Amino acid sequence: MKDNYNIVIVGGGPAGLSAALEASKYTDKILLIDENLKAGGQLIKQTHKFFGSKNHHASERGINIAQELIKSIDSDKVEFLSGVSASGFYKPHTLLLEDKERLYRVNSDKFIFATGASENIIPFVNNDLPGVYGAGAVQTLMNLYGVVPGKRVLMIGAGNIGLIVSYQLFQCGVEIAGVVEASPYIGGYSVHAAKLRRMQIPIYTNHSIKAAYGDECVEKAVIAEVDSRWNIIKNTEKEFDVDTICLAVGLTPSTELLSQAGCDMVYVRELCGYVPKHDKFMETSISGVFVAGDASGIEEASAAMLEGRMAGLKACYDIEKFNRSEWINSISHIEFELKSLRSGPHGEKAVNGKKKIDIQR
Amino acid sequence: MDYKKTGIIDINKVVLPQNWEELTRFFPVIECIEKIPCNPCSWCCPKEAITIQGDITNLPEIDFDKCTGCAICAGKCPGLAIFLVNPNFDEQYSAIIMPYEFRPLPVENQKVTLIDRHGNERGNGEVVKIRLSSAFEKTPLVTVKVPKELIMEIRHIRAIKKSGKSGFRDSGKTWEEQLAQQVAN
Amino acid sequence: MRFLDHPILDFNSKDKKLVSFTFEGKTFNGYEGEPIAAALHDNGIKKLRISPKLKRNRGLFCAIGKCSSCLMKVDGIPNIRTCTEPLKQGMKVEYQNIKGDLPEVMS
Repeated sequence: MKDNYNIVIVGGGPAGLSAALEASKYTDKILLIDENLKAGGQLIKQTHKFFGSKNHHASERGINIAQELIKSIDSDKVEFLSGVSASGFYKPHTLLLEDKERLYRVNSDKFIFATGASENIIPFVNNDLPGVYGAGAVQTLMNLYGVVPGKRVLMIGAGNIGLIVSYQLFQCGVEIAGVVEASPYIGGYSVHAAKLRRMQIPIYTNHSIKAAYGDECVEKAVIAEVDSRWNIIKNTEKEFDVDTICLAVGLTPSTELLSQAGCDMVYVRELCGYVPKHDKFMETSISGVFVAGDASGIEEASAAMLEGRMAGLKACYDIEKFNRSEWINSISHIEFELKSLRSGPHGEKAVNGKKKIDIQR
Repeated sequence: MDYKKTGIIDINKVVLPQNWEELTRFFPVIECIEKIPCNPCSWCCPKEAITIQGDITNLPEIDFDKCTGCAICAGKCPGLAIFLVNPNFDEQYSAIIMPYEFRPLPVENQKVTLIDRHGNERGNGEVVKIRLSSAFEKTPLVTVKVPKELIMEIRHIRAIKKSGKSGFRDSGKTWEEQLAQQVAN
Repeated sequence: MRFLDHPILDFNSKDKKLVSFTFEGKTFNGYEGEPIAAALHDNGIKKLRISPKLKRNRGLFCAIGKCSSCLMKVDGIPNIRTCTEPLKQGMKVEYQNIKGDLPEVMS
């Protein structure tokens, strides 16, 4: 542990690991920190095969992608600290870190914030009852530790996370009472939805959860139909005897540090919250401060990995101008892949959102 | 857009070979009808029978003449959306090769419950073959015999649970209770 | 509850060390290094906290140390995030007194 680094990366998920890997090709003295005990962020909980292209590790399971990324990072160049939280950023170049024992600071000219996202919650009666979990928590319990949250689950949200976590619960032998989605359409990929349907799991579109009941823990859930403005329609309630309610109702970018650092922040609905304005190299309004992954707007892990690479690459190029043609090649390659990933109807949201926070330099 | 409401893919939107009912070999049924950023089917095919033109979100196109029915695409597809179908597997039955990532894994010659795209149970079928390959990263391919009239409907099976290693270990007992139980045994 | 058989994951490694800990005075077991909350869940304990104002039961929600729903008293120290705190042999886990009291002796 030194106190001066060429690059400090906060967050060891897909974006942070990719940033570290890319940066380590051109420079050393890189610090990567993560709050959790294991690196890999949400990747290490993903037992399903990823979409994307060969370059984005498509058809590999998330758990294996995390291992590959970690393995290919040169530990002489990248120092990894786990169980360390970043608690403040002070201009121009200081990041405050804390672990269990102490509070200390590190200095660097380049910071990459790949701080990910946190789970949303929605209002319903008794939404704080034990047995109501965020989807990420369910994945952590079952896929990292082999513990299932219950025997019968009601999933709220038919986006990709809701559909995937339902599938993963089923793989653990847990019964899924149904997937509930307030909008008229299933938000996630239809291939995921098709799997659940043939596994005999109903998907209730135009429905929302109204209440959870139980003494100490969830014993029952009540859902009801909603109209186009998501108001509950009377006398359409359905009851389910479940011991677990899993919420997969979206994520919010974790941008507290970037906001505290003084980056220009904008609320963008398509990106699911307040995000820092950034240019195409992922650099925010503060020079030398980068953002990557879900912290720059909620997307899939494959986009996070590309954004991380972009930020890592640009940070290095600023430190030490390497071969110009290699630089142009690398960035145009990443730009091309990001554009391709975001083509099609599922990418529209990200494209529109990113337009609203673009910094032209 | 109906599949976005129900989650059930309409087979009429899936490209099939001409006169497929008469074929006596396995061919892929790619139930991927929505533009998503994904292309493993195109690069895993050793015969280059499947292609994705332009953007990665474009839909796969298949040349059935080049396909040898090797089923690698079915083992690689992250959406588990590719099935291989042989309409005339033998005189009486069709057969389908499907990815099956659940426990218990059926064994060869085992009777299994046949389930269609809608989740309806449609009688029994028989497992012909289980294919495990490290290239598929723990996605077994199961070949099942299916009545001919159901071959474009059945897309899932359920193996009948046998006793033994499946289900949960319910702790819920204190350390002392577990010790006591061990002593009693 | 733990699942025994999984198509992709294997948790049956012999390297995992079973340890015992107490929760509200009763002894339970879990695996060393897993979060305290995971071991409690395995033993069917889902209520982890009582909310300070309205005294409502709270359980695990985010499991990544962000939401405060699982704060408990561990070895006398309150406000431990049991979703990220690794389990050790002999740990004493308790409900905490609302916001938590200071331990009598801080060493």
